Amino acid sequence: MIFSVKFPSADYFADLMKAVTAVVEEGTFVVDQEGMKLTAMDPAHISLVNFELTKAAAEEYSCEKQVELTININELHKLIRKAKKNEIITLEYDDEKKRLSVTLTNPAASTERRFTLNTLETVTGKTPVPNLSFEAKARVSAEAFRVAIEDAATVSDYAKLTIAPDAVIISSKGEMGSHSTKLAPGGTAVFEIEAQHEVSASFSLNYLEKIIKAGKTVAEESVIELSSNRPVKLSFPVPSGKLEYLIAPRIE
Amino acid sequence: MLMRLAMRQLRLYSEQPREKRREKVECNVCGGIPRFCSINLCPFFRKLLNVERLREKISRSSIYGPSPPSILVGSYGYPRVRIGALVAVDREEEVKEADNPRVWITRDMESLLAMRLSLLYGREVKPVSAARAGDKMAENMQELAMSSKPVYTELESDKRPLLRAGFLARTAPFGPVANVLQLKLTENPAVPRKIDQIAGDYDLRAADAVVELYRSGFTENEITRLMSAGVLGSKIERRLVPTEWSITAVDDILGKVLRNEVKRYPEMVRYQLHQAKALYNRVTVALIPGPWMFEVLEFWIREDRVKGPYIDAEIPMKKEIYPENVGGAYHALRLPVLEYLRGVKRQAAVITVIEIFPGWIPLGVWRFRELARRALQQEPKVFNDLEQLVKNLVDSTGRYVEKALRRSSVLSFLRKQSTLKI
Repeated sequence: MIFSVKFPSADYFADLMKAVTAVVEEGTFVVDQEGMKLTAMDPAHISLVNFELTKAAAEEYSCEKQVELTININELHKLIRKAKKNEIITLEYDDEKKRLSVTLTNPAASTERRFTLNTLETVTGKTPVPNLSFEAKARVSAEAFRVAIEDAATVSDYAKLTIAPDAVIISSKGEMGSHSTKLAPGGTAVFEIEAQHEVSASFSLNYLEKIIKAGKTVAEESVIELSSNRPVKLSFPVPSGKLEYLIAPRIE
Repeated sequence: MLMRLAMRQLRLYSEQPREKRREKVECNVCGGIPRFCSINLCPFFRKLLNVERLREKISRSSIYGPSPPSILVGSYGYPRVRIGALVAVDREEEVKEADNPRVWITRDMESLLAMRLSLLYGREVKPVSAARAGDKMAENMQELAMSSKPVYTELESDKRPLLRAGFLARTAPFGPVANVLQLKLTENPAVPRKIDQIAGDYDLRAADAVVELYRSGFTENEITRLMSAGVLGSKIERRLVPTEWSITAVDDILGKVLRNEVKRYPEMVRYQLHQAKALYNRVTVALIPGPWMFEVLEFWIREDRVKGPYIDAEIPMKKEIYPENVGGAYHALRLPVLEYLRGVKRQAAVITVIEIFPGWIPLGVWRFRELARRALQQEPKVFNDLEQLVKNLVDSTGRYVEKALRRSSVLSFLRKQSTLKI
């Protein structure tokens, strides 16, 4: 066994995997003594997911040496999506058989469900994370953000995100009409804004929708980092981990 | 539960109510309403066909002739639908070609229509479950559908067949109709071993059977016939499937399999423009370097105006929905484009413009499939950048395309969406 990891909450882990599949169907996990990581871009190179779960998140964690395993995350999610709240998940990797084994244990009911998943050949090289700096940052309620994105999607295929010193604005314009949602601090929608001046960029709603829906299931808060006409970074705070996305803008 | 699932999957390909509109033929005699279209009255058909001879041939209640083979399952009244076989009552020498769209594109409209309208549709209303209920007529029809060669068939009717023309949105037209009491094959059908094996395999899912037949070299038309006859799939999937639905189901199933493969190939390097025209239809395919995307812009050109564009597209990350504006033509076009891309081992962003000119009579979606195939077989015009290609696309199609391209989501994606590539 190269590594063996036990996470206390199987359903939360399933949600995290679901969140990763918002961008990619398959991806390469890098597992080492510190934790597990995955960075991947969608096939069109428009969005990127940067996922990490450190060993602090695990109940038990052992890893002999760094290993890369490419798996179909959709398939993995299919196996574990029916995980119950009180189930524990154990991931083990057998380097010889190239197989990931997934065990769901329910200590109260004394049941154990075991799945194995074949790994795939690693095709793509490492995905480099673009080095970006951002001009503005806002911490918002993931739910309020999701509603705004969904509203925008009713009129158009893309939306403009704006962070002003006093508000976060999501707006869209289509053939038939337009939409705009203003989220201001002081209420339950916006927790914090850091912006010297107004910054905005446009993004495909297909991507925004998928990512915000995925992020919303694992976190209540979303951090938006933005520069004018540059990629946006959306992060969802995960205890002892990281779930970040980048989306390339539409240049109008 | 399983049954309901299978039903729902098939209904995805049904004609109504998902397709929002149906183009009418502008005809002064019948007004383009198929119900009022009669071979007997139509001056156009009278010129085309030897109506008197055809009438003579169907003057009896018993009909005998070769079937290409061809079967037709209607969708009206589903799950109780009209089912039956098409039998040539005239032009028997052409019967081999009468149900093979791959060769139709080289013919002219008149000879094509004359050939199809010489096919008599002997039909009866049956529940779709007749496919596995030991129904004699359904069984004979299934045997017929499995044949690779024409089969002489005898139809017994309770009265004389009606002289008329049948037009449907996706399928090719047919001629006289008769309610039949009995359908009998008077010779043994020639069933290829592969078809026999797959039809006998009740563990193979219908979608997998479709793919396996395609990989064994059967044409989408043959596969469609087998699917309609209800001889593919697990026991629960074996039902008669309206021909119009199975045409699109087969195009879609095969397209999805090819698409998974094509999406793994590197992006195209050149900008290519392919075009083909026949039978008052023109198909223009633009292949553009980029991730896999596909869009169809459909125009109906009338004497006095242009209807359209009807647009449907698939672009990255967008949820896949039924192409309700373009309908079955969308899947019929996507298949040959994917076949081409698989052949050159590239993925591409694809914009397809289809134009239907005055003079066209609805003969089915096969024309788009075959025109796209022909276009892609020919040497393309090659360009170095997107704007050059777009300019040429506009120049080689009607003027209305220029304005319509503003609504193209593939073009907007290519022009405006940046990437994270470093």
